[in-house]
Amino acid sequence: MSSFKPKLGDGSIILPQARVKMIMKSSPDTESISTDALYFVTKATEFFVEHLVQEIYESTGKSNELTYKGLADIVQKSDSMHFLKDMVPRKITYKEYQEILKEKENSDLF
Amino acid sequence: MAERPEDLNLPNSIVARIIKDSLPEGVNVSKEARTAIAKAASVFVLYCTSCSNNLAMRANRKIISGQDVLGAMADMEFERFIEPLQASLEEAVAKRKQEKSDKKPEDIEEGSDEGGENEKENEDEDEDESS
Repeated sequence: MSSFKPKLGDGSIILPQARVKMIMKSSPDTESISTDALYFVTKATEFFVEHLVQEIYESTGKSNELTYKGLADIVQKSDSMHFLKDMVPRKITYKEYQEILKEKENSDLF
Repeated sequence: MAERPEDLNLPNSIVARIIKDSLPEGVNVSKEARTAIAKAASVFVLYCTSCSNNLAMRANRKIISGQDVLGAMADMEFERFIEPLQASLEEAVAKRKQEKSDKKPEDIEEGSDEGGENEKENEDEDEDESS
């Protein structure tokens, strides 16, 4: 596993902590959150975006276009991104979809 | 509490800024990718919360501590974030201290220098919520 050297590692935070707290509180089990925990989650989210974007960029051979497809490919490939699998599905064409349906019908017959 | 559904999403503009800062200049990010990454970041917060919560509950604590979040990073296979997170927090704490001593130097009785000397005395009040 490569080490992560964040560009955003100077201690300051740009995501709004109040919003992050609200999202955390929307989770039914959350009772209270220490200041350090809120700081860590906010900062980790910034790191996560940075890390994800860099992974996509590297995997597409440093292409000048960062696309949804690049994102979906990384999410399907990388173990640590498995929690996003349902949220970022790969796109398929209608033709491919029809083929999947057909295959499914065929296999249902047996 | 969240009153509108969009309160549960991270602001797109700020996520867009992080995306831009993470890439070399001249790389274009499609709108679709940007929206999906912002959504992914919100899901990351929830995932993180749930993992940290599990650790806190297992230890019979109601407050999620900083350690719980770091432990969650390991559970989520984001160990690589742990060290940078700790370094960031240290820097943030140091900065806050610096700002404090810059703002009202007359409040500091002993050791009128900025930073360094009085770090020990202030440690308790700044880190009381970490355990």
